[in-house]
Amino acid sequence: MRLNDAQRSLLVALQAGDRLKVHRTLDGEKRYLLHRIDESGVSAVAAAVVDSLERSGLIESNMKFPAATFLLTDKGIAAAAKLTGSTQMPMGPRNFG
Amino acid sequence: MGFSWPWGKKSSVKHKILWVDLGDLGDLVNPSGPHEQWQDHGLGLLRTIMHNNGVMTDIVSTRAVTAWEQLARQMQGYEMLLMNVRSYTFPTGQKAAKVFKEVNPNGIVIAGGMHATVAPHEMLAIDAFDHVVQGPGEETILDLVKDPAAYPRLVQGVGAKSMGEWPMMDRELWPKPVGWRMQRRWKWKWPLEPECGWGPGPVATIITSRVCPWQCVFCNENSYIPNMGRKPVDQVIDELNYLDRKYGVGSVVIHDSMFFQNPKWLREWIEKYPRKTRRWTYWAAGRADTVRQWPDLFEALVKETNWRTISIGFESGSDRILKLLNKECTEEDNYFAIDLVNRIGDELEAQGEQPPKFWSNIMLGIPGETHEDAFKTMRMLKHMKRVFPSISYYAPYPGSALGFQLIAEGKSLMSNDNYHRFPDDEKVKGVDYQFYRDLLAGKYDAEINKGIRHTTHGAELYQGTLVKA
Ligand code: B12
Ligand code: SF4
Repeated sequence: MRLNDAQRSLLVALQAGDRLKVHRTLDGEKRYLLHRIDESGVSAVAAAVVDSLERSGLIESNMKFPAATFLLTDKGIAAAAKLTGSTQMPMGPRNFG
Repeated sequence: MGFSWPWGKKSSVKHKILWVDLGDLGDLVNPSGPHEQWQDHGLGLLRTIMHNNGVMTDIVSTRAVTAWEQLARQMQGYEMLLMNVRSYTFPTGQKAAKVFKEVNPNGIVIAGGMHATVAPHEMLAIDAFDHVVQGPGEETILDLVKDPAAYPRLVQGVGAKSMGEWPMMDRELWPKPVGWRMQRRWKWKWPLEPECGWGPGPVATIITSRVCPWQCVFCNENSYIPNMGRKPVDQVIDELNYLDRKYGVGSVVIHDSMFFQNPKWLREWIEKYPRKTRRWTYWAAGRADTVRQWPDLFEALVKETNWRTISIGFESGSDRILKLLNKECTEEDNYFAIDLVNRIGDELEAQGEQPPKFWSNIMLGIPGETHEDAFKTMRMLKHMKRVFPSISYYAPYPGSALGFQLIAEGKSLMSNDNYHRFPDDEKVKGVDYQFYRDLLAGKYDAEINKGIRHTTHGAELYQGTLVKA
C-alpha cells in the first residue's frame, strides 16, 4: 500500500508513543483524537485516514469500550520503522493476525 | 434538557412494552469496530422469556439512532420501557429513560442489569427509573411487567437455578444493524455477529456458565451474581448446531467470564464438541493457575476442540501485585501457561495448523504498583509468542471490593455520569500515568529486556521481531 502524508505521519506518531483514541459523547459524536505521549496536545485525525490504515492491517483497535485505542500491528510496526529508522516499539499485538 | 417534539403520535406501535438496547449512539449505524456491534444476552434472554410466555414487546436501540430526537420519536406511545444497565451504559441508560418519560409522561421505566445490581443507590437517584431490579430477572420479569405497582421501587430479582432452565434465546429479538452498507462492510449476517479478528464470521456468541467462582478484588463477580448450574454440554451443542443450520456459523465466542472451570463439564465438552459439531474455532477465557493445575485437560481442549483464542486474565507479572489483587495466581503459574501455549502453538504451526493465541488481559496503574512491578508485567508479555495484549489502566468499578474501597476513599476519578469515559483513561488519583504511557511506548525497553528470562519459547522471538523491524 502506498501511504500518503497523513497516513505516514500517523504511523510515525504511533511508533513514538502517541495514542490514537476514539472519543464518544453521549450525543453520539465520534472523533478520532491523537494524544501526544506527554499529554502536551491533542489533534484530530480524519476518520478516513484511520479507516484506511485499519483496512490495510497496519493498525488494530483494542476493542475497549466506549473509547477504543488503536495499536500498531506487526505490519504497522515494520512500516513505521521503515519510515523512521527507529527501532522503538510500542506494545501491541504480536503474531496475532 | 427539554425536548419539544414536532411530530404527532406514532401509529406503528405494535405492543405496549418497549425494550431499549443500550450502547453509544450510532454504533449500529456506522460502527468503527466489531466491539460496537456485540449483542446483549441479558436483553435477548429476558425478551425471549417474555415472548415465549405471550408477553410481546418491541425493541429500539440507542445504537441504531444517531440523535436522541430519533429515539424519542421511536419511543412515543409506549406504556413501559425495559432496559439492561451495566456500569458502562449507565449514562446512556439514564438519558434513554429521561427521553422516554418526556414523550410518555405516564409511562413506566423498569431497569435491571449489572449496574442496578452493584450500584442501586445511583440508579434510585434517577427519578426516571420507576423500578430498579437488583440481580437476575428470569423468574421476576413476567410478574413485574404485568403488575409493577405491586412491587417496591427497588426489586430483588430472582433467577433460574440452572442455565439448563433457560430457553434457547431467540436472536432475532436482538436489534438489527442499520442499512445494507454497514452490513456489507462488516459482512454482518444478523442475528449472528460479525467477525472481530478472533475467527471467521458469522460469529455465534454463547454463554455456558454464569459466574466465575474466584474472588479477584477488582472483579469478584460471584459476590453479586448468584451462582447457578452450568448449561449442559448437549444444550450448548444443540444451540450451536441450530444456529449453524439456520444462519451458518463461522466461529464461536464463548462469552463466559470463566470457561476453563469444572473439569467434568470440560471433559464432556472435549468428548462431544469435536464429534457433534463442525468444530468451529472459538474464543474463551481461562486462568493461569488452573492451566497449571490441569495441563492435560487444557492441552486437549486447545488441540481437540479448536480453542484458538485463549483469553487469560494474567493481570500482572509481579507476585506482589497478584497478591494484592487476590488473583490466586503466581508469576510461576503465568509463565507455565505461557510456555505451554507457546509450545502447543509451535507444534500446531509445524503441522500446518492454526496456532492458539493469547488474548492477554493486563492491568496497569494499580494503586501501589512500583516501576519494577510494571517492568515484570511487560517482561511477561514479551514472553508470549502470539498475543494480543488487552491492556487497561485499573478502573475502580463499583461491585468489586477494591473498587468500593477506592470510591470510599475518594480516590476514584470515574464519575457517576462518566463511567469508563474519562478521556485520558486516568481512573485513580495519585497514579503516575505518564510513567505508564512511556512504558507502553517502549521507552523503558532497555531496562525491561535486561531482565527477560531466557527460555526456548517466546521472548527471543519478540527480540527477533525487534531486530527485523
Ligand atoms: C459477555 C460479557 C461481555 C461481552 C459482551 C458484552 C455485551 N455487550 O453484552 C464483552 C466481551 C464485549 C464484554 C466487554 C466488557 N465488559 Co463485560 N461481561 C460479560 C459477562 C461475562 C457476561 C454478560 C452476560 O451476558 N451475562 C448473561 C446475561 C443473561 O446476564 P445479564 O446481562 O446481567 O442480565 C441478567 C440480569 O442482569 C437481569 N437483568 C438485566 N437486564 C434486566 C432488565 C430488567 C427489566 C430486569 C427485571 C432484569 C434484568 O436479568 C438477566 C438475566 O438474569 C459479564 C459477567 C457476568 N458473569 O455477567 C461481564 C461484565 C458485564 N462486563 C463487565 C465489564 C467491566 C466489561 C468491559 C467494560 C471491560 C473492559 N474494560 O473493556 C467491556 C465493555 C464492553 C461493552 N460496552 O459492551 C463487568 C460490568 C461491571 C459493571 N459494574 O457493570 C462484568 C459484570 C464483568 C465483571 N465482573 O467485571 N463483556
Ligand atoms: S478477574 Fe477473572 S478469575 Fe478473577 S473473579 Fe473475575 S472472572 Fe474470575
